[in-house]
Formats: sequence, structure tokens, C-alpha cells
Amino acid sequence: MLALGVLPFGAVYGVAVSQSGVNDLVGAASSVLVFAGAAQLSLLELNDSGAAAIVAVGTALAINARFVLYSAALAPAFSEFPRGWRAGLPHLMTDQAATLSLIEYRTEKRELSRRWFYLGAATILFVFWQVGTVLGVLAGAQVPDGLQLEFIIPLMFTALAVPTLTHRPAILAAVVSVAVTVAAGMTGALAPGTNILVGALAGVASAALIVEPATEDSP
Amino acid sequence: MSFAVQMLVVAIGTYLMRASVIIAAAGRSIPPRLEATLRLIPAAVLPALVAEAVAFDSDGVRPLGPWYAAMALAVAVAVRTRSVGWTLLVGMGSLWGLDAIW
Repeated sequence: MLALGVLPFGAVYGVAVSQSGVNDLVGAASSVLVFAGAAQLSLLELNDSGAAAIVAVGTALAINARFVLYSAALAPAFSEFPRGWRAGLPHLMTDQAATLSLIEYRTEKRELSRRWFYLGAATILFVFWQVGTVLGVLAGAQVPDGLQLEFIIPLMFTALAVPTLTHRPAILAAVVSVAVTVAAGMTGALAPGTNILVGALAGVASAALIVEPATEDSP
Repeated sequence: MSFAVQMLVVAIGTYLMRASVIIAAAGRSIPPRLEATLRLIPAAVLPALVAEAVAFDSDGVRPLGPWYAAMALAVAVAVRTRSVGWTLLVGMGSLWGLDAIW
């Protein structure tokens, strides 16, 4: 079902490519090479609006800075994987693949199953993302703006977030994160996307104060 | 700098961020309390992404309207059903419905 949500999200990006001044093929290649929807859309839009290269690149990287956090979250499990897997799997990292894997790893302790679970989930999402992008490029201008398909993006993250909110530290992390992200965004003082990182860090830091040490089967 | 070059820089930078701690922490043991804290990361990042998408649009703060109401409904559905499909259906459906009457 998550993969089905990725399809229209990919199409949102594909439509944006076809309606921009960027070459269709180069725009679509971003889905393979960057493989991060929000950053891809931001880079495309800033490029199209004539922003300086440093601003466009910096904003996209700020939006993707949350991957450092997922990298830290996955590191304990990934440290048991063979070197080649540790080098290759990160490129397929998405909010969905990281979150689903972390939920799976609460109960799945076998190293081999862990790496295949991540590879499987991440690959399905990668393939659907490419298909969505191509469909969006092909459909192009025929998709009316009024559909507001970009609303699918926060909907997907909502469905993904709810199963992670199983205990008090997680709920505290979510509440603080939302409050700080919105407050930091409203000041307008931070580079776009940076408020997400600041909010998430504030959420994790406050929850760290009440978290219990990890045991074999704690969430 | 052309779009293609910018895109390549973002691609390389994004890979380095995704790989960062995974590569750096390889072979080291992680204290249980830190590991429990790291597991909270999706619970903090995902709601932040939702808040950013709903509260802001390209012009700044998004005025109160269908996006907020539809998201509130979608959160209720996600909590009750834990289903991605229902969350997407109710969310998009209520956005279109509210947009028509707003």
C-alpha cells in the first residue's frame, strides 16, 4: 500500500519536470540519482525560478539532512551487514524504507533477514518511484492543478508515523518536533527545510530525557 | 551551474548523508540508551515533514482551510485504522470535498 502511495508522489514530480524548463530525461534521472522526492521537487522549482545554484543545491541538501538521522537510527543493525551492503543500501534509503525496517527490527533479530527486509522494501519503493516519475512526465500538462496531488505526500507520512507512536517517548518526540518545526518555519529565519531538521532534533533530544534503555524486545 | 550539475552535486551529497553514520559506526557497539534514543528518530522526523507540508506553502504560512481540516480527519483515520489505503482515500476525498464547499 505504501508503494501505491509512492506512485502518485512520483507522478507529482514527473508532472513538475514536464512543466519545467528542464530537459525531461535529465529531470527524470534525478529520481534515480537523488531518489528523494521533497528535495527533487525543491531543486527543480528553485532552478526553474532562477535561484542561484548555491541556494538551490543548499536547500535540497538541507531537506535531505534528515537522512543523517535515519543513518544513525539504522547504524546499529547495519553494523552487522557485510561491507558491500553497508555501502550500497544507503542509496536506497527513504523515510518509508527506514521506518518500516526499524519497526521490523524490533522483533526481527537475524542479520540476514534484516538486510533482505530493507533491500526488499527499499527496492519496491525505488521501482514505484521511477514508474511514477515516468508516468508523470508522460502525462505532463494533462494533469489539472485542482487535483492537489501533492497532498498525498503528508498523508503518506501520516500513515507511516502512526505505527511509530507506540510509547510515551515517541509521542513526546512527535509533539515537540511538530511544535518546533512550525515555530521555526514561521520565524522565516532559517533556510527552507532546515526547520524540519531543527524540529526533529528538538523532538529526539526531549524524548531522550525520558527514554528507557533498549532491551531485546522494547520498541 | 546547469540543472544537471546541481542535481549531481545533490545526489552525491545526499548519498554521503545517507551513508554517514552507517559507515562511521560500523563495527562499534552502541550503548543501549543511545540505541533506544535513535529508534525515536522516525517518530520525530515524520510528523515534522507532515507539519511542514501542511503549515507552509510556497508563499509562506498556509491560511487555515481545507488542508488543515482534511489532515485532521486523515490523522484520526490513521490512528483508528492504521491503514495507508484508508488514510490516503479519506485524506484526498475530504480535501476535494472541502475544497468544493470552502
